[in-house]
Amino acid sequence: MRGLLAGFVLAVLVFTGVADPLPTLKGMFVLDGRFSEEKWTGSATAKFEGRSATAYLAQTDGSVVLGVLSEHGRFDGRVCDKTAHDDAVYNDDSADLFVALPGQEDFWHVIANVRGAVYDERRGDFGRISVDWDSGTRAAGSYDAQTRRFYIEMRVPLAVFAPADGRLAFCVSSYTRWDKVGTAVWGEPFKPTTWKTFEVGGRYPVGLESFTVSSIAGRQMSSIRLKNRGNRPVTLVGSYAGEPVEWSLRPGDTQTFEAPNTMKKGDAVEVALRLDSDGTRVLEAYRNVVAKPLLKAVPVSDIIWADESLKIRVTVAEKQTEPVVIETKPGVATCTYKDETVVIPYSTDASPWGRK
Amino acid sequence: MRKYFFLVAAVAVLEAHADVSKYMYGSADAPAEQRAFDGFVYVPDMDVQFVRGAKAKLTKGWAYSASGGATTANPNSGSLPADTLLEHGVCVDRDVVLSVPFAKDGPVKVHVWIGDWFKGWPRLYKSRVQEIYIRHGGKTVYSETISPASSYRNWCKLEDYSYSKKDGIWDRIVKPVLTEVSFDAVAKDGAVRLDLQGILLTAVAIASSEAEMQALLAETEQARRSQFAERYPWKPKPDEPMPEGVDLSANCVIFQRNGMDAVNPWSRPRVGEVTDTIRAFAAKDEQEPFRFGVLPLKDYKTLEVAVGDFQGPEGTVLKTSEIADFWRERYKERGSEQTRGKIDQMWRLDPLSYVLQKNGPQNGEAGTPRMYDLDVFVPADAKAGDYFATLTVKGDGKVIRTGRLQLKVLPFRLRYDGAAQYGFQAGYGDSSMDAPGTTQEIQDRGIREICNMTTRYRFACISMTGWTGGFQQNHKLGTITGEPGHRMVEIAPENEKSWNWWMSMACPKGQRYVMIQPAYLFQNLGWQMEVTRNYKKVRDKKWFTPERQKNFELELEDGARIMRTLTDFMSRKGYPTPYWNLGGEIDNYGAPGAEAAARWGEALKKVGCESIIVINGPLAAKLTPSRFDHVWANPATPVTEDLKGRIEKYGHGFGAHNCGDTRFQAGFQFWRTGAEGRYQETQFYTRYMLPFVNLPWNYNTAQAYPSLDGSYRPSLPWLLYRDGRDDYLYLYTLERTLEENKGSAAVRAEAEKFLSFLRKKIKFDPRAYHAAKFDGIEATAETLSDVWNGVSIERYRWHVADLISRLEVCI
Repeated sequence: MRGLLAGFVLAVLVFTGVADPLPTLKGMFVLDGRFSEEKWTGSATAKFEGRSATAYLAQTDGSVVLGVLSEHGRFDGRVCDKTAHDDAVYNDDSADLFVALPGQEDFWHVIANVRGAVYDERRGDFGRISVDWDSGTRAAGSYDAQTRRFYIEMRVPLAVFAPADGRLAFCVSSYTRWDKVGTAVWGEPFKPTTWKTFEVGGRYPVGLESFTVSSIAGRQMSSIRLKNRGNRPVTLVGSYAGEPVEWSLRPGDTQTFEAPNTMKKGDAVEVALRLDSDGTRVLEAYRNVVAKPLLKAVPVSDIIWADESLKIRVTVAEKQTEPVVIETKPGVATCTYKDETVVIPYSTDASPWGRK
Repeated sequence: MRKYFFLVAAVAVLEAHADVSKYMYGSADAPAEQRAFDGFVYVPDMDVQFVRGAKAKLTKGWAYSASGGATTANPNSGSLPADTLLEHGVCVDRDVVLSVPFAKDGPVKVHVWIGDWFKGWPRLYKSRVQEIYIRHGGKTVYSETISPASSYRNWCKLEDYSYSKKDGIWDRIVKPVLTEVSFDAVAKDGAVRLDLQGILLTAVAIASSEAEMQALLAETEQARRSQFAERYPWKPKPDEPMPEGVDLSANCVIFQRNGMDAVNPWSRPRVGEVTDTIRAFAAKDEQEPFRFGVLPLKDYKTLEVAVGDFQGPEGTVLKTSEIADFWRERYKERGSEQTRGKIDQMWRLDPLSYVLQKNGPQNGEAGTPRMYDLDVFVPADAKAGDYFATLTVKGDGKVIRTGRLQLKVLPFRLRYDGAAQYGFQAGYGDSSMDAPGTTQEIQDRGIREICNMTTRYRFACISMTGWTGGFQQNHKLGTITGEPGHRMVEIAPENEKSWNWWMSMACPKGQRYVMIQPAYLFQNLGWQMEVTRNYKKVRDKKWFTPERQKNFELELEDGARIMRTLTDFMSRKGYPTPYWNLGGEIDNYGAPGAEAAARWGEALKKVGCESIIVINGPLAAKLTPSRFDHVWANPATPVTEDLKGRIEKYGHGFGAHNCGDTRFQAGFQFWRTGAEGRYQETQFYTRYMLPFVNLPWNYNTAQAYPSLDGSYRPSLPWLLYRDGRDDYLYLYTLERTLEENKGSAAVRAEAEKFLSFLRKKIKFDPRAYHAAKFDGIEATAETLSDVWNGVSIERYRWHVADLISRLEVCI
């Protein structure tokens, strides 16, 4: 049995192969959506097939950076109208970055369009898609009418992947909406086993097991479950939702930490977790949320029969600490909880069934 | 880590049972993790186990792929299979030789798992095999005749099952997927030989004794259950609390609940729903359901519900058996409601009461609500007023509760003239009529049933173009002759009969237009347009050669001329006006393909034919408003007031395409857009509802369900969609009544004010109400709005009905 297992481990190692180092950019990387050859000096590059386009991949300041410069086969057919995070950015002229831990089938997928809008998702166990996963990616791009090309660049923190062995597999694709054609380098999209593995270096002693962010307005607690993968204790210092945190994990320990995030109703917020160990960034995690109201008050119907009272469904999205105050006047009701008020206008009608 | 586990488990099991052999089957492309399960040896389709013989036709393996799209596009995708055994299979038409190392010669026990998770029985159609069997030693140990009738039986598996809380989820929705066959066999020279024909082979196990086999089966089932629990950790929710005031010592509770409000096995009536009088109001000639529930508080082996005739004003009687369909609802897991065909959240496995079956006795276990729908077709000449019918509930043959139904017939009829037509793509209805052993009679009946189902509920077969089933070969509509550039269509007298047959079924009196897709119609007429059927290839310069470009010009010229001839023919015959549809969702083809499709708008304008196009993106939004007479948009376009304005600026009609299949989307929201018509593809996605209509795997978008006899029946969402259409008709009727200046000035002002209030309240863009975020939505049975619930919609409808009544009365 041991022989079998050893053979299997060997097979996995042979399969994943020896990785090239992911080059580190020499100069400072400025994410401005403007292309220059100098910007990408020293990066790994690859030419796409079927389209005059080049992908540039490198690392800098703890991030993986990608640039895709591509011809646009129909410049007057440019499509790039998404601006919101996780909107259907993939339907615009766009660039995709696929990332996986070598040998794993689960992967991360980040897409950016020329306007810098980002769609990111994680394909987890059994192919399930988590659009909730966010990458903290920043992107920018531009069209160049003279050369009839478009350019997209993005910066993704390496610590969101936190590769335990310092290696990641990448694949890059470029897509234009006018012909609905995507073309890829360093492997085949959605097939992690075909992607090229790079040595990204670094030390990532902690893995993120789960990350549950409350999207309710007010001060709410979020839950972060971390695992110390190594055989040394780890002290993590950093911030969560802008507030400082300091957590410790014993060797091999898995622990859930709680931390508050505070938002106002309707706020669109990127909640960020950033953790350092021994002065080095070891983990980042993000969730983009729109703060939902604490108080939800919806009338069953805003038409009531003459002989009945207004029925309101009231939900408080936290452990209720004070009563919801409901005031009813003819034609209008108000519901108040903490600093949130919902106004419900209603009208009165004769019932088709007469008086009960 | 997972891989290590499987490897260890496999070896351990083989060691534990020396006298068993276990094989599972599938594609040679299956990845390593799909090849390991509970000690089964994975056998790919080209393995030496499969012996080529003279009759060998097809031995094709398949394996699940997580990265695939909808099950419509990829039959090996869809929901993650319940366990590894279900992740692959082989359709076998060959002898199979199974190695049995533990028994060189002598008797053995064999167990075969048959079936598959994705397409199941429809896969067999491709093999065109009528008799499927497993034989051993010259004896048949399993057989079935594949025919349209058996297809319906397989498709509607578990039709007789009545949900019980006592049944675990695996037993309810996983175990029935596979058919299992056990038999005795004899090994020779260390092998068992089976003769298979048309068998969907999932796995085979062989054991030396019955005891070994039983142990093996128990272990396999346990492994499958464990894996399913890991993949689908679904748990039933606790029972809701009973409302105060309910007599818990009674036999049962009767309650009324709107169809939009979900009923799960753990649901309980809410305050205000418990009643002995179930009520509904309807206009004359309207179809309207009473939906009510019976919650047994004691166990009954059989629960029966009956409704008497309706006694109305001045002694009028409406016979229930003549004016109503009586349905009982069956629980089925919610399943995949978008077209992705995936179940990725556990609430999708919550049993929901919504499949309709003919009313009859069923299990009446205590604490499980059973829902009923009496769908009344109010006669056009019914007297306005209140009608009452008795409601009787029997448990184990004895009356345990009585109540009544109250129908209020309103003093007006809804206006259909000039109203938007609601149509479906009905060509996707059924594939059972293509089964081996089909006949023209069966195929014709299949087509007729699709039309009947549509028109019975006053929808329009606007895209029932007749290309389903055997229409192409059985009903020739004419002949296109002539050289390119000079093609003409001839319609012989026998062709006219086919036209009559089609139009009389698909287009009832009053239907104003019918959407026809020439790319398929011309195929019936003997001409296959090349470019028009291949817009996607136009962007490929190697394919769209100068010669093809020239041919496309002739295609436009000939096609337009033929459509002119056919338009004139249809006009002479008094058929609805054809709207020629030459490209669906053209953003799918990229800019070159979309531009080619848009050429048809101009070509048809030249010959004075009406053109229509359904669009789904920014390319078409730019290209089509000026070119096509009718532009119907889906939410990905997107649907905005600006788009509508740009279409109407050219005097063209704006319509809705795939804008959702809920009552609100079909009703109030549709009315808000002021669209001229509504085309929804998904109601008849029945043929995609695979593998079984009563199980949640893998595709559940259709609202029309097949029945064992080959007819169709509505689901509760179908009735709700119709209710949405009727909500629209109430609003339309009010608008028409106002246009005719009926009623007093005060009531007219009140009505105008109310309509204005609704226009402000309802958002124009349907995406504002979509619960799931997909850019191109075909079906969204999930509407994100607490405001538009069953109670509020009914009250808005009543308010509109009251205004119409007051306007009509006060002329």
